[in-house]
Amino acid sequence: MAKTLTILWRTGSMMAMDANVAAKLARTAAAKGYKVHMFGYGEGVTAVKKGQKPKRFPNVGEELEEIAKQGVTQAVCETCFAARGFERGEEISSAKVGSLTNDLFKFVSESDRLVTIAR
Amino acid sequence: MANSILVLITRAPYGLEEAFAGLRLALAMGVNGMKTSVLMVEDGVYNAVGTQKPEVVKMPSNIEATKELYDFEIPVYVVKEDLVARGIAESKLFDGLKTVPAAKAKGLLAEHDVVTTF
Repeated sequence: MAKTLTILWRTGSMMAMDANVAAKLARTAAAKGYKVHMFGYGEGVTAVKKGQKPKRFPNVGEELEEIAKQGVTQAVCETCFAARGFERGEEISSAKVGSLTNDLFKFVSESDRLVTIAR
Repeated sequence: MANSILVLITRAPYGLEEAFAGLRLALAMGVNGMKTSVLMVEDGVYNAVGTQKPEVVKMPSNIEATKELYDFEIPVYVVKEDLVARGIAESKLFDGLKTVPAAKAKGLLAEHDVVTTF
């Protein structure tokens, strides 16, 4: 039975590579046969904002949409998303605007490992 | 399959969102029936001080966020050595917290299926 990994990331899409590292870890784990969940919390929710156009950095939104094709599920905290002025519909297509109580709880419950990426 | 989670609080309150966010995550896990514990360690022990006045900085209270965990029988531990290192007397802590020596804190890590750090 495939092992399950949840990646909880809490750093924003710019200023640090944490979200990109989270996406890369998810890609690698999925390629090795892991079932992978990702949850963005706090500043982490900014990574799923649709329409990002970084000039000099990798586009983490596009990376997340790409790894979703490998079966990586993605959700972010709705409270954190709304707090930053984002509305439903502003998220990339691969991510769900969800909650700690429903989505993260389900992810963690299913997981063999939990990796937290933050500063 | 994880049946238990330990939430480490390593940051002081209010200057950063981290401690509050960790307490809310613990609540979400506990509400769903997962065995959940919180451990305040290093600068995280500042969250245990009972004389916090978050209204001064217009922030939500980390004391209230901690006490909400008690309703779901989520234990909140505070590392004694980290209190001592910061000159915080145990008499300054708010009620319901459990102070533990660092050696016991290491045991808590082993007792839970997964750990997350704030």
